[in-house]
This record gives sequence, C-alpha cells and structure tokens, in this order.
Amino acid sequence: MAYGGTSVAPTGPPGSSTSIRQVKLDKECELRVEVSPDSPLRLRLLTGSAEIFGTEIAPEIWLTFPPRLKFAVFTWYGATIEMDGTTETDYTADETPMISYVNVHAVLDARRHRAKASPSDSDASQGPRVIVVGPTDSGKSTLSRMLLSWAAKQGWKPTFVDLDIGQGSITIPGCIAATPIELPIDPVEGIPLDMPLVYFHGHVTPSVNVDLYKVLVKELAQILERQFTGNVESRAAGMVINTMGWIEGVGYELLLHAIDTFNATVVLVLGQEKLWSMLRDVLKNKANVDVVKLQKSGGVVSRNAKVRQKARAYRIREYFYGLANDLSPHSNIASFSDLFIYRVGGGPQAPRSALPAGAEPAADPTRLIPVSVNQDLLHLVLAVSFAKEPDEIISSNVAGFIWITDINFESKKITYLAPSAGNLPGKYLIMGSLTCLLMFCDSVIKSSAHYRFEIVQTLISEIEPDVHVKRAMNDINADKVSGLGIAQQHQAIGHGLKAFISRPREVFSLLSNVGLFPRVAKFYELELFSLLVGNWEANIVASFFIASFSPFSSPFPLICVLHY
Amino acid sequence: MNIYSSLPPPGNVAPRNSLSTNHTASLVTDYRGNLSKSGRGSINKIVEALPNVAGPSDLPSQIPPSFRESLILPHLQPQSHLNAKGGDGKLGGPSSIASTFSSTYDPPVPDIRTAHDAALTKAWRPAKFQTPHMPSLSALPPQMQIRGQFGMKTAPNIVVDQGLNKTIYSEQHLGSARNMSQVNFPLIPSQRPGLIPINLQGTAQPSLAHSMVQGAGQLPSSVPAPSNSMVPPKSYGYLAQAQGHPIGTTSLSNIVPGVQSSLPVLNAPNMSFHVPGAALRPLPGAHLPGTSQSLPSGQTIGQVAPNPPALSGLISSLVAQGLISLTKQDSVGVEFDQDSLKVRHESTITALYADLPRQCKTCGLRFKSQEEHSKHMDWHVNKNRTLRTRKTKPSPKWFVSVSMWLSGAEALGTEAVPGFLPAENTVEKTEDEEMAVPADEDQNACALCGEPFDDFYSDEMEEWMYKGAVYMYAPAGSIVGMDRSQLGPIVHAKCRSDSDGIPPEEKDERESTEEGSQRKRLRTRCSIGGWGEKSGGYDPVSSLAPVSQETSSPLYSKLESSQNRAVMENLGESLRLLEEEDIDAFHRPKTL
Repeated sequence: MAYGGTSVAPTGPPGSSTSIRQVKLDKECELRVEVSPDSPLRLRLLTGSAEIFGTEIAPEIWLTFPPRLKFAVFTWYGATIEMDGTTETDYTADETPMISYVNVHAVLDARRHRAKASPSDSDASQGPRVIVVGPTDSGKSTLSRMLLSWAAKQGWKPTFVDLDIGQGSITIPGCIAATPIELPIDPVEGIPLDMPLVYFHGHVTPSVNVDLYKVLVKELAQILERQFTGNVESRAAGMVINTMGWIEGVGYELLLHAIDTFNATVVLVLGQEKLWSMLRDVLKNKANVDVVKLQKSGGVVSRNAKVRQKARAYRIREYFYGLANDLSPHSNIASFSDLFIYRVGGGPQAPRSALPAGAEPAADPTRLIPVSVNQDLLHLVLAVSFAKEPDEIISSNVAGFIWITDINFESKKITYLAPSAGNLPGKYLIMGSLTCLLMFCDSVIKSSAHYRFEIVQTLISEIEPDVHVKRAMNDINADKVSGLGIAQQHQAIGHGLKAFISRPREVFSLLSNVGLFPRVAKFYELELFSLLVGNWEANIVASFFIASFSPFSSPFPLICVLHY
Repeated sequence: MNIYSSLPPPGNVAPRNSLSTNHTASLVTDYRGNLSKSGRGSINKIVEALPNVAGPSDLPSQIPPSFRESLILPHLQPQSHLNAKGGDGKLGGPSSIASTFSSTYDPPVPDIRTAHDAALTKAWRPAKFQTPHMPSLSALPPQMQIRGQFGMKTAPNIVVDQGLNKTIYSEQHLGSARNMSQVNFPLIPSQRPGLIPINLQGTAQPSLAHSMVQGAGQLPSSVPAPSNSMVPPKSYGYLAQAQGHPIGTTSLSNIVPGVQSSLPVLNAPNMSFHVPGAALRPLPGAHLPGTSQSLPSGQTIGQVAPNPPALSGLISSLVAQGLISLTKQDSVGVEFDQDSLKVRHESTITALYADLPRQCKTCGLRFKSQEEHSKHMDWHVNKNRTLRTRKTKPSPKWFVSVSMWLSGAEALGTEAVPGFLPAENTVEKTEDEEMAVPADEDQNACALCGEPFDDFYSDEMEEWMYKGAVYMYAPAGSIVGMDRSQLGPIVHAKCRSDSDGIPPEEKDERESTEEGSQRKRLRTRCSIGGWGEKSGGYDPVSSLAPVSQETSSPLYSKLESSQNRAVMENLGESLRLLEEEDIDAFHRPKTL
C-alpha cells in the first residue's frame, strides 16, 4: 500500500512521544499519516465519524499503528482525531477523490443488489467483477481495499483477488491469491489471512516467467469460477481484482489477459488517461464491460525501488512473525533427502548450479526442474505445494512458505523456518527468486549512506572487531559493490556477510557491546544484525528479526545471555 | 428498558406482517432477499403487491373517514416543534430552506446516530428527547414508542413553513428514519396541512398503502410521471423540479430526499417516506393498520421504483402540489456516469452510516439490526476469550487446499468460522472471562487482598463488571436465583482460589498445569512489566525460542536449564526497568 504523502508538516520533534494532539477534520477531508520508523502511533476518533480506507473506526477507542505504516483517516461528516506518538509525516488534505470512489462503490452496490435479485442460474446473478488497473503507485491496492471494505460493511462478502506479485498484499510477494472478505478490512492488520487461496510464482515481477504467471492466473480464475457457481452469495458480491503497476508492453498484455480470464465487468483505471483510452478502445466491443477512469489520490506517494524492495521484505517477515510479532514460527530441521525442491522454467535468476552438470536452463517456461540442495538455496523462500505429484505442481496452490536459514553440507541437514512445527503439509517445494537476506541487505546498504555510515561507525569505533569482521564490513561497503549489476551486488554482499557470520561469537560480542540493541542501536542497524547472525543459528535469527523490526519488543538481552 | 425486549421475537413474525419496530431484526433477510430482487423487471411484483393501486383518479373515494381525521390530527405537531425549536436557528423561511438544509445537515448526523444507539441498545431516556408535547412515551405500546422516538428525534429537524403549509425534512432526518429500517411515507397533506402517518415500511398493509395512495389521489395528478426507473438521476431531478415549480421552488429542495433517490436506484434502501413520530402520538389507540404494520422495505422499494403509473405518479403529484420536492438527485444508479461520479450523493454516504444505525463500540462496525449486532458482540467475546486463554503466541497458519477453500468459502456464505480455524484451548475460560461479577458500587476492592477490581463493560451482560472477580461464598455452579446477601463479598477469583470456594475439578486442573508453571513463572519474570501476557503480543519464552520441541536445539535446552533461568530472572528485573517506557508506547487498544 502506497498511501502516505510527502513530508509537509511534520508535527513535533522526533522522540516527543508524549505529545498528544488533536486534529480537526472538516467534512470530506483526510488526515494522512506516516508513522515514524521506530515507534508506534496511537490514534483515536474523538468526535464525528471517520474511516480508514473504507473501514470505519470506533469512537473513543485507541488504535495502535505499527512503525512505518502509512494510512489516511477520512471523514464524510467531519471528525476530531487525537494522536499520541510521533509521526514521520502527518497533514490534512481537503482534496481527495473519495467521492468518486464511494460513488463507484454505490454503483457496484446497486449492481450487487441487481445480481442478487436475479435468478441464480442466470448470467445476471453474477455481481460486478471489478479489476483495478493503473501505473505503479496510483493507489490501486488502496482503492481495492476501500471497495472491499465498503462492500463488507454493507453485508456483502466480495472476493479479493490480488494479482500484484510485486507487493503481495494478501500473503507475500511472488504470489497471486484470492480471499473472501467478510468484514471491513482492519486498518492495522490488513487483509485477514484466514483463508487465502494462494498460487506461487516465485518472482517479484512476472517478466521472469510470463507464461507461468498466465498459467497461475488462469488456475486461480478457474477456482473462483467454481466458487461463484457454488455460492450464490459470493457470486452476487462479485470480486475486486488488484493488478500490477506494470502497464506497458508485456505488462499491458497481462492486464488484458487478466481482464479476459476473470471476465471482468468493470475496469477501474487509476491515474492514467492513456491507459484508460487504450483499454476503452480495446474493450468497447464487449457490451458488458465498463471502463471507468478515476483520479489518483494525492495521498499516494511514489516509492522508489528500494522502498518497494523493503516493503517486500517486510511482507515476508510478517508472514512468519505477524505484523506485531504476534506470531511464532517454528524452526525445523530436515535431511536433504526429505525435501523435494522444484523450480519452474528458466529465468535469469535460476542458478546454473541447480541444474545437472552441463545442462542449459530449460527453454520451456513451465517445465519443472528438480533442484538439488545447494548453497544457493540459503535464505531462499520456498513455497510448499499442495501437489500430490510433481506434474501437478504448476496447477496447485500452495500451503505456505518456508525460509531456508541454514544448510549443513556435512550432516546433510537443512534448517528452515516454517509457520508451524511438524511435517510440512506437502512434500514438494517450489523455488523462486524470493530471498529474505538479499532484499534486506540491499535495502540497508543502498537505501542510505547515512545508515551505513552509522553501522560501521558504531561497530568499529566502540569495539575492536576481529579482522574478519572488518573485512566483511568493508565488503558490504557500497563503494566496493557499486558499479556492479544488482545481481553481482547481491553476491558481493552475500560473500561479505558469509565471511562475517563465520564468526558468530564475534557478532555477539559486537551486539552486546553496542549496548543492548533496541535502545542504542538504530533500527536499520538492527536489521542488518539480524541478517548477519542469520546464517549462524536459525533460532537466534528468529528472535533477532523480532527485535530488529520492532524496537519496542526486545528479546535481545536474553539472547546474549543465552549465548554466553 | 430495552425497547426490543418488549416486542415479540422476530422469529414469530412473518416478514410481511412484522411490526415495523421488529423490522430491524428481519431486515437483513428482507433487504437481501426481497429488496434486492427489485431488479429491472419487478414491475409485476409491484402490481401484485399493490393490487389496489389502480390509478390516482380512483383513489379519493376509498379514503376512510377515520383516516382523514388522522391526517388532520397531527397537523399541529410540527408547529409546536417549530415553536419549541424556533430558537435554534434551524428553521428557515420559505426562501431560505435550501440553505438551511445544507447548513444544518452535516453536524447532526453523528449525533443522530448516537441518539439511536443510546435509545436502542440501552435504556430509553425520555429526558433526552422529550419535548413538552410528548409527555409519556413509555406508556405507549412498544411500536408507538419507537415512533415516539422518531418523532422526538426528528422533530428538531422539521422545518415548517407555515405560509406554504409545507413540511421539510432534512436528510439526516430521513437517515434516522432509515436507521430504524423504516421506510416512511412523506407527509402528505390532504385537505389541510397535516401529516399522514403512513408507514410503508415493511408491509404496508394493503389498507395502508391504500390510504397513502388515496391521499395522493386527492391531489391533481396532471404531471406526467417519470415512467422509467432507469432514468438517469440527474434528469429525473430536474424533471421533478420542474414539476414542483407551480407550487413554489423554495420548498423543493428539502422534503424527503429519500423519495427521489428511491426512484432511480432500484435497490437502495433509501426510499424514505417519513412518518414523524409526532404525527402518531395522538393515535396510540387507533392502530391504523398501516402505521403499525409494515411491508418488507425491500419490496416497498422494488414496488416504488419501477412502477410509473402508481407511485411515481403519486410522487409527481406530490411534487406538483409542492408537498414534496426533488431537487438534489440522490443516487448514482447502476451505470457509471463520469459526471455523476464526481458529485456527493447523500444516499451513498448514509447507506454506509446512518442506514446502519448500530455501531460496535469496540471495532466500529455497523449493523442494521440488533440481531446482527449481538451476533457480532458474541464474536468479539469469543475472540477475546481466545486471546486471553492463549498461553503462547500462535503460529502462522498454513493456507488451505483448494477443496477446503471452496467449502470454506461456501461456509462463509452461511455461517462464518470455517472449520479449519484452530481449535483453541479453552481451559482458562472459567478463570478469566467468566469469572466476572456485576460491579458493586458498595465494594470496589477485593475483600481478601484489598486490591481494587478492574472493571469493564460487558456487552454480553450489558453492565459493568469486575474482571476476574467472584462472590466469596458462591458455589461452583450457577448462582442464578441466589440472594445477593448469601453470596458474600466480592473477591478476586485468584484470591479465593486458596480458600474453600474452589470447586474440586478446578483444583485438579490447577495441579495438572503445575508442570507448566515453572515456565510460566519464567515468562512472568521475563515478560516486560507483565505486558506480554495480556496483549498476547510479546512472550519471551516463545519468541526467544521459536523452536519446536523436536528440533532439539542446544539453545532451547539451555533455556530450560536452571542456572539460565536464574540469569534470566535477573535479566527480567533489569529489563523491566529498561522497558517501562516502551510499554506505554506500545499500548494496544483494549478490546471489549
């Protein structure tokens, strides 16, 4: 979700967490907030009524928003909002496209009623199938969310379909998924994860394997078709489909493919006239398809590649640990021989080492290729397929994900983080190019020279690290990797980290000397630390992640004690 | 007094005959089932439902004399309100009505809602709404009480133009009427300015529908009615306005906005002809069939919208008389119109707010009926229970297979909570959630330990409760029927558990969990200021070692060894100091 806004009026100096302030919102205004990166924000509605992306908030009840969250509180009738905590930015906007958005909802609502009133065996009983399209950062997922929440508020149970594998607003990036929405979407928790239907592409852009993407979209659409056939209520409520921001070339083709595959009846085009007119021309022969152009909200901020990458990493982390670290994943150990790992088709990121010696990457984009355990799997996120046989893998949805945290080639054991203990729900694993480690590194190292400096500074000035550590830190230094391609940068960073973490004890002394992390060390530093230790001991990784992402809950000291 | 409790249970009342007061309960089904069926082709239905609506010209002769009387009776009410409320600046002369409307519209809406909440979910508070003209509503039959409420709430919003004998309603007025899921008919002055207490909601019993139409029939219906329900909103609005002109444009903007919205929008529940409660007050014993019974609103809407000869004819007649006005087009329709999309349509917003009058005070979700609302509160209670009894953090769930998903999605359609949701441990249920007694003003601290009780408002019990508290001498089972004096003072359940009051099986349970108590202690020691346990947010043990037992991690076994425990206890102390500030910073909203 890209809602937020630019820094217009930061309120209060950083750290003034005790400042409680009130904001009065006039009718049809919205308060756009980005929570500060290192402490949560509490907010409540004092008077009037207000909603966050279509979900009304209860009067007087404090809501706690985790760090970094971007959201907007909108009011139709006027409201007074009270905030407690620091924000990165917060400002009031009086120009929003909300009226047109809610009117779209009203039309959809009318059509749902019409569908519901029609005989259940007729075509007319199909509620609106809405697809939201537009360029990157035009507020597609936010609009989808509003439409779903408004519909749910009025008692419908629409189905949310997320085709944006770059963001993965239902589960994690690299996936397409669908889930019924029963209640307005929680402003803090987001899309409920009770029962998503998930297909794994494995890459954050479909361009890596366009054919696979199309196959998965088709599979998902078929299942939804079955659901709509069997469930009249769901059928009448219809669906809202969120799409990728890739609207040029192949991306445009994929949009048309999705519109066609899902039999979309309403195409909402956000923020781009050109796309709207192109789609209108293409679809004008389809009598029952409306192509509607909508304004993008001024609250939508553009995110650069690093921010997106970081957001992706957070999504993966959230999958395992929950948004507020309220989930507890399990670290398991398995023998090499217990895991059956496959990769679908070729692709630029497929490691050659995964192939039999001398083999070239497969030409068939949907061909299944078995992968033997190798170093490249480290830190990769794998999907657990429901397939009973290998040839069902492509057409099967997935049960969830595991994250490889360690590979021991001597004992032939793999340590991985899984949602829960016990056997995996399927024995076939699908490999993509989703990794946790490299994305984290990349965002840390590249996003800000300032932070990098701080890391090095803290580490090196306060203690005398082992020479290996120094070298590793140097390797991480962007000076050395800049000028290389992204992939090579990853590699270089990875090497540096590996060298670094070959000295776990050193890492721990570093950590403890820096001074019980969450307080002293900055957020970004912690993030890096968690990665540094990651390779060494999975159990600790888990805990470190928790600390690194939420400075306000801190198991760190315990870990250090344990270690010594 | 809970108004609803005095009514027959909704289940016993067939939707068609349901009292309007009951309608909230049955509305969902009506709304979905009937209302929404009012598609494009529902003209037949309308004709069926209103077989007697032959045409305006036939109608006058059918008006029963008593009905005419009833029309006259309420006439004075609005004026009284006018007088009573004259000072608040909400009344406008003929020329300023439109602006009055818009200026008073916005702020009151939330208030109206609140009023509804207060009135409907809790006790009736006459003082809040009573006007001099409404002395004793509680003496009225239940349905009349509801009306009385309406009347009182709406009264301040009624703007009476004495010169023109018109009654003007602001939209929020209608919204509040709709809150009650009543579709009301507009005040239809007949020979004299007055209010026709017709309630079409729900059921408009035939006779009621008649009376309404009859009332209309008296009016010259020379104005052509919009005959197509699909007429684009805008054009209809203009048309209506034009029709209204002969009588006076000043009145056009404000009367019963719901009326016009009901025409173009086939399926929106915004068709609101309104009966002010005041109008009904003089007739408590009269029991006009139409006023006490109602049609499912969905049907009503379906009927009205596509039925050009009867109802829209009526409406245009009314417009022609200047009795209602259709200025602001209030719906978006079923087609996307770029211009229409840019305009605020009040019905769209009220459909999301005022039309769903009951709001969950915990999460802000809104409901039409009490039934839905209480179901939702049960859900909250269960959820809280689950959260509280949870000893460790839950694990992320695996996603479901396709077949499960299909059946689960199916299940969602009927009754929520798919079967694959985790089975939650309910062992501690009795300890926390159910160990609560109504708050006692005479005793606010435990009789044993002297610590004050934590109180909370139980939506289940609808009163304030002391958390984790029991009566000292209460037996294990139900205390229903026991005299309060027999129960003894209120004590913390945990304080009493050392004494005799504890039932034997609970003791066993306690012992059986003894093995876990060491770890529990550990957790308590280490958890930061006790915060972890409460919110379920942070649990050092599980987060420290997110390891399944079988993975035999060296770290995990170390954690379990006793010397480490000692270390950790020390650490817990210092941590507590360290983290004290953060606790406040991460204060999760208290649910329930």
